[in-house]
Amino acid sequence: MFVKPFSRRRVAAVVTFGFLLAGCAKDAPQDTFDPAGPNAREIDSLQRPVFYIAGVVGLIVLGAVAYAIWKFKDRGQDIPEQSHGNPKLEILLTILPAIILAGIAVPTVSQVFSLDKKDNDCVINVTGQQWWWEYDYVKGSTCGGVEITESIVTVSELVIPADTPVLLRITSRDVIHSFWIPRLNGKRDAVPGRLHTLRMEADEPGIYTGQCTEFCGLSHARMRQAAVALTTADFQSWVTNQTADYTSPEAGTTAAIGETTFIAQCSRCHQVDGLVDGAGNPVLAEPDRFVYSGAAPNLTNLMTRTAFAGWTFDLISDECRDRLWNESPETFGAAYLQGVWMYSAADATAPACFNETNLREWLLNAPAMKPMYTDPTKLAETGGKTRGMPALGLTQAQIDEIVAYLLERK
Amino acid sequence: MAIIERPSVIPAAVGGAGATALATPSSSLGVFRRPVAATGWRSWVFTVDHKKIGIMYGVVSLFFFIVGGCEALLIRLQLAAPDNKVLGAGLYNEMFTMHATTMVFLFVMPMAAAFANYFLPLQVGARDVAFPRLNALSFWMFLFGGIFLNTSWFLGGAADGGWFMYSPNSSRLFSPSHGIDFWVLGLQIIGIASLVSSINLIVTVLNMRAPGMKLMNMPVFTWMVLVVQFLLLFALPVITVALFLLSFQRNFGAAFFDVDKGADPLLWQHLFWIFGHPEVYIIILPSFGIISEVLPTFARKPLFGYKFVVFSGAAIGFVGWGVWAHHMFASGLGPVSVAVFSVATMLIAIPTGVKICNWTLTLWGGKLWFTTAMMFAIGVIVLFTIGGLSGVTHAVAPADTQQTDTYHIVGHFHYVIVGGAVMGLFAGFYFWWPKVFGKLLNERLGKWNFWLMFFGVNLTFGPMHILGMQGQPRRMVVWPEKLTGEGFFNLHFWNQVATWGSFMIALGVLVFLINIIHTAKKAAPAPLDPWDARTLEWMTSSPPKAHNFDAIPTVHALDEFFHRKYEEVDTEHGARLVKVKSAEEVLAAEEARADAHIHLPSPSYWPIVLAFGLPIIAYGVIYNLLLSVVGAAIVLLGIFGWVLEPSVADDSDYDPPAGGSETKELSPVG
Amino acid sequence: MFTTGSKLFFGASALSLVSALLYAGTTDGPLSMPGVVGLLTATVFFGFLGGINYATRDGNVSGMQAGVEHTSPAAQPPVRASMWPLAAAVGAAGLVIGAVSRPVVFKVAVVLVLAAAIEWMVLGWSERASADDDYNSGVRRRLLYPLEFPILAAVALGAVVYAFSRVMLRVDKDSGMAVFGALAAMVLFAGFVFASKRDVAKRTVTGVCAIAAVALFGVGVASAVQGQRTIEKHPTTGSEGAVCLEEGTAGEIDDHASQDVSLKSSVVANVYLQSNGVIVAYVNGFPDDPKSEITVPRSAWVSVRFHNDAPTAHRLTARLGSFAGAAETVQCTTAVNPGKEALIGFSIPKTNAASSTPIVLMVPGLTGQEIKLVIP
Repeated sequence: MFVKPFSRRRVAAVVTFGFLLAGCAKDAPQDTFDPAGPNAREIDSLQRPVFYIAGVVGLIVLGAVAYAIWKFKDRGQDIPEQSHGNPKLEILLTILPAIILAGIAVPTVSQVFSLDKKDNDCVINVTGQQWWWEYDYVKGSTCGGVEITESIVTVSELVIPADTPVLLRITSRDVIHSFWIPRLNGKRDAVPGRLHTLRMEADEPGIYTGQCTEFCGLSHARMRQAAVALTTADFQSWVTNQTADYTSPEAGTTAAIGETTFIAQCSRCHQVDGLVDGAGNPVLAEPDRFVYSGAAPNLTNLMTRTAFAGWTFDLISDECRDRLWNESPETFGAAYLQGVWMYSAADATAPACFNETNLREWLLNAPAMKPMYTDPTKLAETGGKTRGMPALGLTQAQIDEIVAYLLERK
Repeated sequence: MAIIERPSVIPAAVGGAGATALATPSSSLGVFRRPVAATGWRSWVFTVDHKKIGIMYGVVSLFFFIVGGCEALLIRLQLAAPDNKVLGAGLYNEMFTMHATTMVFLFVMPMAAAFANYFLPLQVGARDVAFPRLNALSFWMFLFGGIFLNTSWFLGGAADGGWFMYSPNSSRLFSPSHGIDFWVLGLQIIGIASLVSSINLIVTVLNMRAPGMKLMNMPVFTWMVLVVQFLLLFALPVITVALFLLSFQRNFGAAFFDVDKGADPLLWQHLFWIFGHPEVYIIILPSFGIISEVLPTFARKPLFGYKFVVFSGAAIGFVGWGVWAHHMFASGLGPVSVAVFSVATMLIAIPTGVKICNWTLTLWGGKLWFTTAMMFAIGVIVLFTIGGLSGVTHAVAPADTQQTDTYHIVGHFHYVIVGGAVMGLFAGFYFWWPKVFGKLLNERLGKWNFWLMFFGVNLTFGPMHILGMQGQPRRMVVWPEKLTGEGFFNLHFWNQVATWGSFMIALGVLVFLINIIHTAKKAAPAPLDPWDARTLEWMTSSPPKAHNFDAIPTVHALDEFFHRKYEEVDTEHGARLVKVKSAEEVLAAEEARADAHIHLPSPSYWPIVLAFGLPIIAYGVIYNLLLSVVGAAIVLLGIFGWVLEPSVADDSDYDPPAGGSETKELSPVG
Repeated sequence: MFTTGSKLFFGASALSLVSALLYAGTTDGPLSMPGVVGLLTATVFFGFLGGINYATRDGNVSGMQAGVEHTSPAAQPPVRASMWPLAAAVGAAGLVIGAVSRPVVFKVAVVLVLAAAIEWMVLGWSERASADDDYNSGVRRRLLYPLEFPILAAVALGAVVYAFSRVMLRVDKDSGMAVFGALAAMVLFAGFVFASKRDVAKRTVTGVCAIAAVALFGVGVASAVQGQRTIEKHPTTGSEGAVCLEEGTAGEIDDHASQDVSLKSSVVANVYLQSNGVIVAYVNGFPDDPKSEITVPRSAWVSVRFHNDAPTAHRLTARLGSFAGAAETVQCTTAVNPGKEALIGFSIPKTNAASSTPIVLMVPGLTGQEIKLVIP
């Protein structure tokens, strides 16, 4: 019948202590208590005191309960007076939390408005689709002094200039998704038919991971993303590389055969900008004919990214990834701009960091790696269009050719 | 032509012992008779007795609790390690959808209905609910709806859109299996059950209270149940409409949420949460009611600030309608809406805080008796305080844009629902078990049960706060190794702790089940008033007779039973409360003025028949409308049977015939 | 074997079944399934009523209780006023009139005849159930209330909805607010009065509600007779190329309709036709910096709001390209009055490069001015 008050207190203390400590940890890449940009920092500066207040209030209440349990346990005392309360005390206990909450409400409301600024020089369209994100840089934007004169379409890795506010215009092609880079800002839903804005800014170069956070169907867990912040100079190089003219692989190489295979097998959905067929006509992808949501990742510069398929499978090895993620802000950009060729000797013929396994498995049988709706017998509702990439039945030789070709998409 | 005998004189009911029973027209329209079995399965299946219905609600809810618990364990097993492969993505999505749906609609709500059904008439001093046959109908609709919902597992997969079922992901395009159809129609059936039951209980409370029981003399449990019924009454139509829209979109080609046709999918979110947020209070308030009974009983003093608790409950009921959009802070509502709902959400923390203060002050200065029920009740205060405070952290809208859809939220609402609602229901089990079954649950096993669950809840849901703040979102079948981190707050460790914790809760529940069996087999009959209790439900035998009270008690005060046992006596040390009468003496006094005529409703065949037709209609909507015709015919049969059955069982139907007996039970039309 | 009453119902049931089979065999198309379901429902329903009659032997107690015919008073069919012969007659007349005039009259008449048939039959039977009027009407109530209540409730609800909707369609949007605000206030006031005055007679409440119901229905019917305000048939976002490329005219505008839009906060751009006849786009993200092109993602539904600040009515037309030899896709708003606005939404499946015609927003009648849509 005896309750140990200390055990209760200890539980309460551990939980509260947990909250406090969580604020100091810097160990998970998506730690919301570790802001890396002004928007997230603004949220953090409000969130932290609220946690502390909640912790203190919690300790007081639980302390009172623990004390009452210890003090008033049945030791044979009289039946207490049958009093029905004390209105004055109760009114006080109503007003007190009201005052605390008012204290929280005022900065909350002001911050709701301050986080909602909508003007910017650098605007990026962010479009969600089952199960990956597409970014296109709005023509006419000026991002960190770099003018975007040609549209750039990229996937999963959102490259932004550091120390520069960027405005994301978020929408969706199919179901509701939610764009979230915890260390840079809170999340914002991507709702089809609506266009929501979210500001983003990173203090320093680096990679900031994120995840789609609105349940979006079968492969919701495998819809990830990252924001990569680069110095203005590095960003300029990145933009230049993204908008560079297409170069065909050298004739006679596997990659050159790969180009033909790519046109035959992949290009009906996947765009590679500048690609022309044998007759010299531009090869334009038509994902709207095959994919229900109407788009497929643009592969023009695939090898400049570090992961693919909704940022789920790495294009670089684990060691390289760890090394890249832990680069200092000063050296990060140089490594990142090498894409899968990072940390390779200058004269290397093969990229040291390239993780071939994932890409090959994916080309062999994508739905086995990431659940998607590609079973032709179950596509009646979407008129035969898939949701995700189907298994194409490629031979090993074809896969070799395509990988060789894709390796040059850097 | 047809000639029928009509009694020429209807003898007036005469009070007093020895009066003759009412003569009634013989079964007016021939074949339809009312069942009379008092034992065996018929006495349960055709019963309209609120106590039997309450027990059946409890048993079925407990079964679904175990089902939902197993689903939870599978979810936790899947998440115990990075990139785990216990469940596939599709199955996982079905699992968390059905875990939530089962726990909310098939466990917590009906378990609260079980308590409400059993104890609300007892607490207000009534012989049954206002509409006994409707009560039976509610139960059978709930049962058949629950079974219907779960048959989807075997018919091509359960619903996979999450319990919030956001459009457009819930449309046929994105979820082509029948799972969501089962979900929609199952919830419609369960919704009708709740709606019917809410009207029934509201009428019971407003019209059938014992003489002298003013609204402000009602036990807090009854009060909270009343508030819940009003919430249900207004919230269920909203979800019904939303479900119809979704149903029409999926099955009949409507376009309510179809973006290409100009719709806005946020419409669903608004409809769902206008229902969904009051639903939170529908879940939690009965538990608040239960612990507001348990705490005063074992503190031996009245609830501190009864009026404040009642009014804050009602205030929660009102303000609960104005906060739904706090589930949508990341949906892009625009800053004005977000600010307004953020402030409204903070507002609702005030009445909730009032309750916690009042419970704590109820303990203050008491004479605390730590039974298992009391420990569960104190557990509710502790865990709900934590859950409520973490709730305040995401009332702050900007912070919520970081927290929403992460495990932080999962941790928060499980502290509220498991720590608040479920622990409260367990307090109710231990407190009222002797009332319902006449035997005390084993206290030693009860302590094991409590501590396992208490630590289990903290170990499972405490770490989730950390996981969420470390960026682990909800509803993800896998979390990746590369985002685990390495320090003290790495995802791997805390996910494992949560999984172990969930098994600890399961162990606690297992101990409870063992306790039930142990008690049923081994325990001796409980004393009449084992807890020295305070309210009317204890002022009768345990278990209560079919007619609840021999004489309808006259109420003079809150905690009537207590005041009949205790009186203030002047002693040399001043006025002291002294027990002047034992419970047995109070009861004997009541028995002495027993009513000679007790009118009780007869059992009926038709509620179960009517309820049975609904899932058949629903199967018809999914597979073939012809089946719906059969279902509709069964419903029609049920309605006609209901209307045409005699208002009371015929004397000759009893074996031996019950004619002339003093305790013959006659019925109001229910 | 079968009693008289049950024969009738079993006959009707068999007839419905045969009809269902015939109907199923002869009818195709969208009506076939509901039709068969309806007829089978009738089969089941009549079969059920027949079953009741058979089981209760037409309610003829003499068949079940020996000797009761000697003790009971002889059944005297009481003569009571009944509206059903009249209803049946009106129904029959309606059938004839409906057959040669409007189908709706015919349909109503069919319902009336059916209702009269059922009510008359049950009434006729119940009035002979015993010699006691009260008992007889009790019998009738028990049998028919389960039917009448749901149907009448549905009809009443339908009437309320119908009346309200007619009134709403009649009044224009500005007075609509006033009318319904006043109405809501009256309802609230009445509710408040009734709630606060507990001793108010039931009859008074019933009376007030009845008057309100009659008034509502009367106004509703009157509004319906007057017809709804004119609503132009022109769609808000049309896709008829020929119309869209024509200049918008004031004549096509529904002045009473609201041109407000629901997606105000989430458009990709606001396009202004300025008073000087120049088109500019204020794109989301650059609120102070007018642009002449808008970048939108492919295959995603986006909306643009069009403000007409020019002195005459104009429409905004989206020329959405022509792909792979197909005809050009064109969408447009209806004409917009000066100072008003309208919304247009579209989704472009392919990139600019794939289109053989330019993808632009333009205002028909104004040449040389376009807002380019960039689909990367």
